[in-house]
Amino acid sequence: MIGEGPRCVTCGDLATPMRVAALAEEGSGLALCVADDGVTCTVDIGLVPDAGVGDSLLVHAGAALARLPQAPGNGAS
Amino acid sequence: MRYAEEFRDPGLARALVAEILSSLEPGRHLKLMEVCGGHTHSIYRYGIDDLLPAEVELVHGPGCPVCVIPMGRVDDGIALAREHGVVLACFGDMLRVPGSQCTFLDAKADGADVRMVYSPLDALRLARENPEREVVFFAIGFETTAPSTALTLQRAKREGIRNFSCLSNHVTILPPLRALLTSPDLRIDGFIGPGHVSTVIGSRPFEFVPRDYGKPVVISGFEPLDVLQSIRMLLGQIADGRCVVENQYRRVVPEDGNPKALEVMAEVFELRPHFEWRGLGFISHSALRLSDSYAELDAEVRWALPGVRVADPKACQCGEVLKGVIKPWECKVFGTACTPEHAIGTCMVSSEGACAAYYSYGRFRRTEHAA
Repeated sequence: MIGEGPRCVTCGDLATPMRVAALAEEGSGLALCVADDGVTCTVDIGLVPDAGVGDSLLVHAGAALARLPQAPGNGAS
Repeated sequence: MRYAEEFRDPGLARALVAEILSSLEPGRHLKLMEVCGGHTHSIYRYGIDDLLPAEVELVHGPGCPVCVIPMGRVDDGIALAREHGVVLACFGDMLRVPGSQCTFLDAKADGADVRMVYSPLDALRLARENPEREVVFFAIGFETTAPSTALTLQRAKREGIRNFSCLSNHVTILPPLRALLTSPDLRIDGFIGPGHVSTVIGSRPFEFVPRDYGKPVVISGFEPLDVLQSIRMLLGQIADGRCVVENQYRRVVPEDGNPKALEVMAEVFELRPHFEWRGLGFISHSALRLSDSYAELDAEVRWALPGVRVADPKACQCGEVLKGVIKPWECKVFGTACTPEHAIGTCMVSSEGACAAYYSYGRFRRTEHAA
């Protein structure tokens, strides 16, 4: 499981904010993403077109569901 | 940016509780249902129910996809692993869900090749790494999870991976919600709507709830301040005599959801005519199967499955818990014959299940209050 506490993979509760660390080869639709606690995983970014390195994504069960807004004052690109 | 700590501020929580208290109509008892198991988990984990006045009662809904899987579907998965010798890949929460004879974990201990994965992509990787084996992904989840399965099936088809298939148990949230609303033994004053399902389908599909049934809905995030603010918004609607769908979780829920996710799901899946929900019975058009164009990746097409309907154990009251008719602790076997270690009902298996969440976080506080 990703993140804190015993949470269910299948429920939307586990959707985890992750930052895109690197894009896989072009056309693969995959990216290496990292969570706040340092956990990394390969994520399918097919549902968030144009996601790029540095973007924060909402990730659930290996797929990014949405791009998270940038908080004021945050350095995220 | 954490998107979490900002929504756990104790001072803001106290302010929201004060607003909730001030918006209450004296003497009126209100029942609010949180549809999603993730909200149930947050409510117990953060003690939100303890912060609320007695006039506001939270009722736990059917939004835990593990909890609603009927035993017959578990038997189908076990038959795939045992009789057809496939590698059965599933999420960890499915491992301890009881079938009629045993769980996936029991079957694994008995020699079946059952493997836990974190995502459909992991299951596809298993297929790539084991070309001599058939790998079946036992897919479960609401509209939050279905897009990930759909993307993976598209990928498998694109890459021509022949030893991968999917046993789809994906379900949809709106039909059971409608079934609950037509249930004569249910009195609910408003709904805390599912946040991440709505990231996919949007907030608009919930508009039938206020329009046809006169109940307000607030789509909510999962952090404690999200849930408290959603409760305050629901009470505000009730106090003002309004009845609409409001969106508390605007940071990730657009009105129309994620169009790309809906497009991918529409290509890969189609609605089943009906599907059995544990404790709720058969509900029309409430689940997804693979569309004809993905038949070669459909485990139900590729393999002969028992497909037998299995009645729930008599002692189990998961159905009443899922409908919010009784609280977890009111079940006859809660915490005695049914515990997370030896679960009879699915609500005790999944960490998002109302019984497991209450068992983990609430039962001791209740004992203290009773003392």
